[in-house]
Amino acid sequence: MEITTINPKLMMALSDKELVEALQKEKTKEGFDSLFKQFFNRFKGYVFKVTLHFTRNFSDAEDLAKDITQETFRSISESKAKFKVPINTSDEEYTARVKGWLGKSAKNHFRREYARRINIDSLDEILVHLPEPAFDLFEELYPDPEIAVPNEFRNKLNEALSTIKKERDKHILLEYALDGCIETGKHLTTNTMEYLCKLYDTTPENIRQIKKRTYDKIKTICLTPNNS
Amino acid sequence: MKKDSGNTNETKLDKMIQKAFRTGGFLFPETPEEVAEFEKKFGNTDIILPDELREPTFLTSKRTAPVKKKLAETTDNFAMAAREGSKLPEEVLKKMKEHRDKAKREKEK
Repeated sequence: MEITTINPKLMMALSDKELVEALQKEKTKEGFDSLFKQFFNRFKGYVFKVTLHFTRNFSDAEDLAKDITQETFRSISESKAKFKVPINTSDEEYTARVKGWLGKSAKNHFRREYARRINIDSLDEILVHLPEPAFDLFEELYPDPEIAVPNEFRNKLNEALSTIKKERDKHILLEYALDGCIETGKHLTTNTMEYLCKLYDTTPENIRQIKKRTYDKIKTICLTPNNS
Repeated sequence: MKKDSGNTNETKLDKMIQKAFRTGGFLFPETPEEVAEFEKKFGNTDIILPDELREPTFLTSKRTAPVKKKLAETTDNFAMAAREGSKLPEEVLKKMKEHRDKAKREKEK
C-alpha cells in the first residue's frame, strides 16, 4: 500500500500500531511527513503532559516541558527504527509501548535541555554520554516486585518534595529515582553520576551526600502521620 | 534480630518511595505498566498546549539556544486547565494559584 496516496481521513483511521509500522516503512519524504504529523498530533498531548508533571519541580516548568516535547519528537522522527515490539502485541499494548518509548526519550531530553539551561558551556561534553534510548524488552521481563502504594502515600511524597527548596537537591534526588536507585546503598549509573558532577561542578561524594541528606528528609516526612 | 526487622522496614519504605515516584506522575512513565498507572491517575486531565506545539513545524526549523539560567528556587509556571469535568491534581492547582499570585504581586510593584 502506498502511504502517500492515503487521504488524511483514512490516515486518521489507522490504529497506532498501523501508523507506527507505516512510518517505519515509508520511504518518501512527503509520505513520511504526513504520517509523522499524524503521529505528532496523536501523542503530543501525552508527551507534554508527562513532561509537565516531571518539570513541575523545576523553574520555567512549562517552557522546559515545551522544549523537551519538541526535542523528543525531533529525535523520534530520526530514530523510528529503534522501536521494536513483539509481533503479536495487541493494539492497546502497542500504544502503551509507544508511550513508554516516548517517555524514555523525553527523560533523556530532560537531561539535555536542563544541561543547556544551567550549564550551556559544557553541553557537548555532557551530551556525548547520553545515548538515544532503544525500547528495552529485558526490563519488562524482570519488573519490580508488586508493591501497593496508596494514593495518600503519593500525596505525602509530593508534600515532602515541595519542602526541598534547592532545585539542585531536588534534581539530584529525582535523578536517583529516574535511574531506579533511590534505595539506600544503590548507586547511580556512571553516565548519570558523570552528568551530575559536570552539571554542578562537584564530586561524586558530594552528589551522594546531597542525595542522602535530601532523601532522609523525604523519608522523615513520608513517615510522619497526618494530623487530621 | 531487631536490627534485621529495622532493615526490612527500611527496605520496604525505600521500595514504596521508588514505586511512588514511578507511578505518581513524578517521573516519565517508561513501561506499559507505568503508562497505565499514569493514565489511570491523570488520563482525564486535559492540558493547554503551547502555540509551538500546535504543528510540528519545529522539525524543519533550526532550534534556538535557551537562555542560560541561574539555579534558583522552583518557580513553576503552569497553564493547565481541566476539561470535561476532570479534576487537576491538588499540587498542580496549588502551583497555578501560587504563580497567579506571584504575577499579580509583580504587576503591582
